[in-house]
Amino acid sequence: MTAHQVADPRFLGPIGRSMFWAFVLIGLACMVISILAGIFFTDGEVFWKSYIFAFIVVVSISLGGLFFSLLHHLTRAGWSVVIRRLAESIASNFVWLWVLFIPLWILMISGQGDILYNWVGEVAAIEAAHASADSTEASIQLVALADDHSTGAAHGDDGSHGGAHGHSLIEKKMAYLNVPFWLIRSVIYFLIWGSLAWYLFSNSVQQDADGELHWSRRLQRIAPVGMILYALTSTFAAVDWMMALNPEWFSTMWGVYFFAATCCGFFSFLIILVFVLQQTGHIKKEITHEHWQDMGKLLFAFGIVFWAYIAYSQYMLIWYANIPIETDFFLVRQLGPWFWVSIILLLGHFVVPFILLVSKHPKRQPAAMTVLACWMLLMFFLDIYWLVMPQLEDSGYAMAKIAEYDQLAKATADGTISTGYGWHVVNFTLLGGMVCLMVAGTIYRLRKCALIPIRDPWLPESLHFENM
Amino acid sequence: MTQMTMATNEPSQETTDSTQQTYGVFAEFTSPSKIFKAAEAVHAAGYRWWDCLVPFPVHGLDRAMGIKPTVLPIIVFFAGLTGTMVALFLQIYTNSIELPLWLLVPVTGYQFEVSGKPLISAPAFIPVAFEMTILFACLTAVGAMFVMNGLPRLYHPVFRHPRLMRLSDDRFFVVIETRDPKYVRGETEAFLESLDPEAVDRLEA
Repeated sequence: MTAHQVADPRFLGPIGRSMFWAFVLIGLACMVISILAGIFFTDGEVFWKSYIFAFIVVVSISLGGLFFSLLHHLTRAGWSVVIRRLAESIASNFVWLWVLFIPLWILMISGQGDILYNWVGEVAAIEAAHASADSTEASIQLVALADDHSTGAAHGDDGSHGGAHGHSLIEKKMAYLNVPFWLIRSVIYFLIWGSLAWYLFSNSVQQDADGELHWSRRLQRIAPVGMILYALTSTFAAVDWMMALNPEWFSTMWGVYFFAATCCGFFSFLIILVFVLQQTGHIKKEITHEHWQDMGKLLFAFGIVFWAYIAYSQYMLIWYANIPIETDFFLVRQLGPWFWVSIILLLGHFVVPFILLVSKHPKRQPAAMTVLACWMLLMFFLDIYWLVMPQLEDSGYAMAKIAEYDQLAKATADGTISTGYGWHVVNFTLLGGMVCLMVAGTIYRLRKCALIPIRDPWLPESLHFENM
Repeated sequence: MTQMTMATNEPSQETTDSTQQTYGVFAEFTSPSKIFKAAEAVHAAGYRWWDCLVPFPVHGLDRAMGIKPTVLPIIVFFAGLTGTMVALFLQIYTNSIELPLWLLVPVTGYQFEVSGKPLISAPAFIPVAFEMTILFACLTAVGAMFVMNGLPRLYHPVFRHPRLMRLSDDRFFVVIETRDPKYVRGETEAFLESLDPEAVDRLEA
């Protein structure tokens, strides 16, 4: 672990081998424990929700790497050349990340998807009703279904929610929200992410051999198209995998919110990665305090301030309009223990790090930045957890309508109505397992090439970069 | 060195008899690396009222000159904080508290209920607080920058000397002002000449 053992600080060297195997073994061990715990000690829902939570964490960090590499080429940036290879390596996890998605594919194909996404069962029921030969019978079934769906509404006068017309909201969303299309979309996402990440990484590595300009030009040409594809796919993936957990709810901010969360996770991870590499004697001269300051700026700008801006914009519009179908999302997140998680996010993801990072001085201190990056990475995990986990028992929407707020608050506080809160060991083992595998995948890439693009035409500019 | 005598010939003849009219002395250099070394030497000699005039930003020149970091960010931070507080006070007072106050003229808050929300609803006040924070911070940043740089300023002695026309093109200058406590007539000029400049001359006020 000491600096003098490193032959060439621009290459990972033999330490990469032990690091790779350590992370692979820890990751696989965590996954095995999770599967065993998932089979024997949980109902399926906790396991699958933890699974999608951990999966979205690793996808987010890798997406951040893809975004940063594309942004670098799109703007033909000079300063960021020395950290671009790390971002490319993180992004190139997409070459294998789809393997972790296979269990979700199997879950959805096997027809058990209702455990995770409660729209699956409803869509199946509606389809079954449509399929019945007799049309009158079908319409009776549909009405029955709609009534069944909004039990609470039947008692009140609220006709705005589906029931009055005999259609549930889910039925109107069925053109998009159905299992085959969901499966096809996820294939498309992984195809786009995998090929983009691989194209960026392989062209960059090939440039290490000859230093020709045309490799950079190729990447600069693909960058605008790649950025548009990235924006579309990450938005739709966020909708498909997270927003669809609560299928009646919607927010047009969702994709941007996911992007901000993605940036927070990626830049925190990148800062920690650079710190570890430098502590083990790598790229110490190449990545200077100037680059540290800029990585800090990006974490501050995207991961803290932009995140807060988007989170608040989403909250305020819903809070102001105060329409039950929209407030559903925040209702469950201010009930029971989720209230405190929300407060921790507000303070720990924005207020405190904002005050700590607003000055340039901490950004130029690698140790201080790394502590903060670790904190922000934890906050990022908590943010995704907060997005995925909360769920009011039964349909949240129906519950919200039948119960007075005070009753509901009381019932969730003493635990008679579940809000989906509950730390379970699989939350941690799945997260740990997938993150370790992602780190191992990143190290695997970094072992095959230099830690910086050694013959990039803009490398000298990056090495001499100074903030004014 | 021959150029120096040439340059000193015409303008300095008048200034010799009126010393208090002299703003300072300058030395002219031809490259960033030369002015970098000169700046380090002037800083080491302990001068305080002096400056470097360069046609483009020279990296690290601030450090070579020993310039302390600006306090502008701290001023801007507190201006922003003031903006937040003013905005919150304005909204909470005018919308939520019926309390007569005397602020130059008698005023009173009015309890104004909007769409059934509580009178003091933080989410509704944040956009204005945010905007006011930005407004105060931006105006303070620009304003304080002007004040601290002594701007706007229509005349400066360096505009007058013909050699200094090239400071916006390809020449680099060190100017030491006569009000510097270390300035001694003759000695400072000799010191500047020891830095191997292209030319040394006086600047009239």
